[in-house]
Amino acid sequence: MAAKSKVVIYTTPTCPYCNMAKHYFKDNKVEYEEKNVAADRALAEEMIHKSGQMGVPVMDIDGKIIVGFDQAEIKKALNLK
Amino acid sequence: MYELVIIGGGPGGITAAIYAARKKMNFALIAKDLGGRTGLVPEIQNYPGFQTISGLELTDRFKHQLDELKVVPKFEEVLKVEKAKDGFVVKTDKNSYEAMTVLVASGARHGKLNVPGEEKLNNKGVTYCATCDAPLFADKDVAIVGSGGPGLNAALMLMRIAKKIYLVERGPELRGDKMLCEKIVCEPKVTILTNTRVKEILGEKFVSGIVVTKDGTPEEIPVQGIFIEISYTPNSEFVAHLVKLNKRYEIIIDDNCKTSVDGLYAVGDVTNVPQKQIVVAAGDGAKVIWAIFDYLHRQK
Ligand SMILES: Cc1cc2nc3c(=O)[nH]c(=O)nc-3n(C[C@H](O)[C@H](O)[C@H](O)COP(=O)(O)OP(=O)(O)OC[C@H]3O[C@@H](n4cnc5c(N)ncnc54)[C@H](O)[C@@H]3O)c2cc1C
Repeated sequence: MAAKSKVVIYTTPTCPYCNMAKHYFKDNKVEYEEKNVAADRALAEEMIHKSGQMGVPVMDIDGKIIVGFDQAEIKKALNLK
Repeated sequence: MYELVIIGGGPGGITAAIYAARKKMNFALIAKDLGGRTGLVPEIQNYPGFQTISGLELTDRFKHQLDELKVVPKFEEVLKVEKAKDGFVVKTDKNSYEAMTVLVASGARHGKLNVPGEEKLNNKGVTYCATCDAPLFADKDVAIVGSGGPGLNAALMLMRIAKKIYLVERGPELRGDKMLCEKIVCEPKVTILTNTRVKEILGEKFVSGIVVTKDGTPEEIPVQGIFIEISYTPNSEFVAHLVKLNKRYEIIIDDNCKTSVDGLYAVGDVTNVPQKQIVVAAGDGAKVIWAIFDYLHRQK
């Protein structure tokens, strides 16, 4: 496994794709920080500002912004095999 | 060679897998994900045994049941099903599988309005997943297009979040579950627009409004979000060259969930069964295993 990445995921509690993404991180033993945008307006603004859009999940992996549970992109950003 | 390959991990495919596992059939379950569109339902209130359960929780329970039966799904995307001498070849993005029978339970995906602005503003106020994105529209004005089950569910969720809601239906009245309709009609936040079509979505960086025609007269409505909850497109492309489809690209099945091809079966939202419901997909998922079991028996 490559050097540890800093991973932030912006989620809403009912979003199935957010859940899938979190499961994916857990399965691959990737530590992540979760920011629930449903609970905090400021976090929602932060997410919209970072990604230029309003859909969840959004992932910030070492500064790379990924919108949606795009496994191929996530893999690449995390240098997973 | 497998006796059966099940394509799809929604309630149809999962129920079929449960029955196939209990019959100790030699089968594989191939799906892009587990749960399918059931995972997208915020509150399910018409699945027996649960007064209310979220799609996420029901999906977790489905997964649990598969785990207990030691069914390990293959998370792959089916690209094509071909006819072979003794059955079928199922080609995925990663592998190729031989099977004597195939069950297609690949569901459907959301429909699009195909109006100007929809592509450009996708995820910028245009959304197809209320369950996912509704919280981002707190205190905003939004429109929901479509008043079937998904549209009404979106309305129910947004009633707690958004400031003002326009529920747009092109027909003369709301279509979904009457109990839900009554709740929504009584909510002062909701304006119901029947006989209304969306013609354009407006906005530069984010959605700023929609243009609708009501009874033929155009009108601009300022909204910051538009939730598109209209008719589905069945995920039938990978068998379209093989089986008979209807005009809506749904796979035509008979009373035993058999398609126009021997050994090829289908259940759930991908079929011409008009009731697109979890319990119906699950029911047919159970029923079809008997038919397949009998068919395999006759081949021996
Ligand atoms: C917002 C919303 C609200 C709803 N509310 C309700 C409700 O309250 N009550 C109710 O009963 N129903 C409700 N429904 C409908 C219900 O979700 C569907 O009827 C049900 O999920 C259909 O089940 P299915 O197994 O046919 O397909 P799906 O649940 O759509 O599952 C399809 C499966 O096939 C997989 N798949 C698709 N293509 C491929 C491929 N090429 N290769 C591999 N796998 C593939 C998918 O990944 C998925 O696992 C709602 C739907 C929506 C969207």
